[in-house]
Amino acid sequence: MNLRNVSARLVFGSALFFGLLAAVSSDTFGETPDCASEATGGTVAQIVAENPPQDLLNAAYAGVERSLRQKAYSRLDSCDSYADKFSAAALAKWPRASGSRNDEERHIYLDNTGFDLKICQSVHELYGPKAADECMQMGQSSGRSAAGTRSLM
Amino acid sequence: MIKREEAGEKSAKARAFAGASYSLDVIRLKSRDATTGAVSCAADLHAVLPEGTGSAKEPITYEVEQTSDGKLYVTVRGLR
Repeated sequence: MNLRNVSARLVFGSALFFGLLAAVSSDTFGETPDCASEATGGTVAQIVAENPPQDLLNAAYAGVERSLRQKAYSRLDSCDSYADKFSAAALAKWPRASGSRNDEERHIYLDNTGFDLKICQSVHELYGPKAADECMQMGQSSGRSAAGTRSLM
Repeated sequence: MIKREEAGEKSAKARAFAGASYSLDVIRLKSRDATTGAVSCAADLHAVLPEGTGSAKEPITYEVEQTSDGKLYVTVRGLR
């Protein structure tokens, strides 16, 4: 039963602890009360339209978010590859800036000070603004902040 | 850029919510009042987001009564 595009008049609505309670009187005359009639369905539809069930919609949207996360993970994989590809060159640009003396310290430095920012700055220096912008977008879409908490190396 | 993406996500979510369609499934008659004819019903309310990107369902109950001027009066419980 499609419940859209049916009009009814909202009488009242209030939030109760067990969920929203709302009621309308339909514009249909002469109908015998029935659980599955079009008039009943349309009136229920109007109530739902006037009082969108946020929990239900959020549950539905969770599927969308899962899909978005999967895309982000996919892009993160790409970012991993990207970082793998550029990490050596990027690290080579930063050892003196970090003040560290060996690779392990450089990794710690990058983890603590913003891997995305650092590596993308290096990518910018090495490969130009377009590559750097792509680098930052991949980092942000994967859920990592500019502060960077995850080493990709 | 992050703020812009967050705003975009909120907007996308709002658009998805606004475009949601609803349907009832597994409609059951729970009881009927012999005197007034009012019925108590239960069903699953399905919400489907635009382009079928997401869906969910929740149980609701509703009562259908007839007003003195012949209209149907429906009360829905369980919308969250």
